[in-house]
Amino acid sequence: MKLVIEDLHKSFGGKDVLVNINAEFSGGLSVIIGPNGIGKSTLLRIIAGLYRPSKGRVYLEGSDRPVQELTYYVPEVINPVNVDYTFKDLVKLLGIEDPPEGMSERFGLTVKDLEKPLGTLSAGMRKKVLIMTSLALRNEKPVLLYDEPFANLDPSAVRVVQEAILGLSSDHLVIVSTHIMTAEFVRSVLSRSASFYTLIGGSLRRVEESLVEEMLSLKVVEGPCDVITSLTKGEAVHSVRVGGGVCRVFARPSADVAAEVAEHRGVSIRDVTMGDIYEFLMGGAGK
Amino acid sequence: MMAVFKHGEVLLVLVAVVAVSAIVFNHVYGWSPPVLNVIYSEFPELRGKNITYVSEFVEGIIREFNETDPHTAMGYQKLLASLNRSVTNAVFESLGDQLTPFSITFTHIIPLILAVVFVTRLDKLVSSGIYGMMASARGSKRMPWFLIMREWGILVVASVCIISAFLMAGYVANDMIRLAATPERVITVLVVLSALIAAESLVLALITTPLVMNGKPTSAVLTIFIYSIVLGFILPFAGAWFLPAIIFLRPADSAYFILSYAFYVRGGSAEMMGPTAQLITEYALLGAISLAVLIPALLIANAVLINRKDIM
Repeated sequence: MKLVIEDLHKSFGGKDVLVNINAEFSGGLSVIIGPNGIGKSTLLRIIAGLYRPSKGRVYLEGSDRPVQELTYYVPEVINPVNVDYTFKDLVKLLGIEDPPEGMSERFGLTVKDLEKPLGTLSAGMRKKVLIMTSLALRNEKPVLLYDEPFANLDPSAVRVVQEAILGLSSDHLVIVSTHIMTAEFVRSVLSRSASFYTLIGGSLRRVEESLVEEMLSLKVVEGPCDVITSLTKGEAVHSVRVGGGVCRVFARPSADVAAEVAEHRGVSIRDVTMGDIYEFLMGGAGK
Repeated sequence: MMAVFKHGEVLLVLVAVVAVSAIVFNHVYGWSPPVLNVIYSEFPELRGKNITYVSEFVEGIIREFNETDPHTAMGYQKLLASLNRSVTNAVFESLGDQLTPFSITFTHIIPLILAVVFVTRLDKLVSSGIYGMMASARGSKRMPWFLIMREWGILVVASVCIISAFLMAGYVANDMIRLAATPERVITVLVVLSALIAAESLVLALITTPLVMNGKPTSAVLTIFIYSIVLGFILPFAGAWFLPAIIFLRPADSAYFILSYAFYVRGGSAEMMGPTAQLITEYALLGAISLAVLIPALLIANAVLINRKDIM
């Protein structure tokens, strides 16, 4: 089964949010990264059939059924104000017959939590409830869309959700929009031959997995541009100008360079984080 | 404006206040103004007498009817025929003759407020993102029946069956109970009028649902108010020309008139039709009107919903 997006365009009140998007998602996990308000949620909602595109279409190749029937969208948040539904009510509303056994324990939620109105739960607990609904619907929905699934979660919950999503991606088409990822998650994603996309300026672009893989193997050298340029000459793989005369270089520094860095004040050398990769992908860079 | 309506509970309290006011008014006043006018027109000697005297007089006539042969209970026949002739005239000539602003206010304020409560509850569902999740899980933007039943059921059970039953018992049913009381008749009046008020509220709510789904709850509430003003206050006084529109859009009005007409028919042919047959006939008639109103409303509302651009 392949999810195809063809010439997709969406505008709100004359403002273009998504412009001429073409993409194919063929199973497994795809991660879309992009800044806040750039249109990630809009794209997922269009795929789920909740928003109608201004132009273009989304369809499932290899299935006669409409894409929205086979897709489940998990929103980033549900507004807690005056929501008097409990998890059990939500399960009925969503048409879930039997939530998987042991699911709530896995997410650290007690039976009492599931009987409380969603509006009284913390943001993190509500998030767990949302993720749980997707697990409960996994048999009916081969396409799962997660909008910022790691937001508002504590580190251990992030790990549980990451594991759940990775597990689902083995036999589902999973699309995650996020700007929060641990390096561990990215490595796991890469090991499953997943895809990365950036959504910038209304356009969706695929990021070469090899690029992300390479970046994770590099070190970040950061400091005043003049010092950094001379220190990493010939060893810089990618560089980013941070601003204020500070430069960040993704490099494979030799032992000599590492020793020299240690001698310079205001210059640091460290492992690449997802934040570095995110900024690199979002901000443009020079080789 | 929506800040006022964010809490449906506030509106339910408001409805309760209105209902209690109506009951108190009715208790003090004894008979609803339209019926009282009919009584005065038939028995001018009652004018100026206190309400307890009027009540005892009318109840005496009813007692006379119950204790003697219906054909000889002329006082009752005269009163009943007169009352229903007025109602029939109102149907065919002018709604304004029969419906006073008082009765319009109290028989239509409940659907109005319930529709606003329904809209605010639906708005919470949509703005919280839960409706979007539900639409995604079910693969359709269509509002499922169980959601209507759940959301609507809460209001119907909590409000209509209790508050409007009180209101009806205190206002409309009171007159009917006094004039032709039988247990089946009382139950018919309460159940049918309550159900029709719920139906009218639902029609209103469904008309405005697409606006809520499109993220415009304030417009939905305004629509309800405009609807209420136009159909509840202007058209009834404009005369019978608008009767078809009112029958379709104001089931509670229709029920009032049809029930009244059914009483008239019963009074005129009590021996020709048994009480069970009459009851079935009335139910069938009212059921048909409810369906005629509800089914197109639901179909239209859902058709609009499916074609909504964006839900989330």
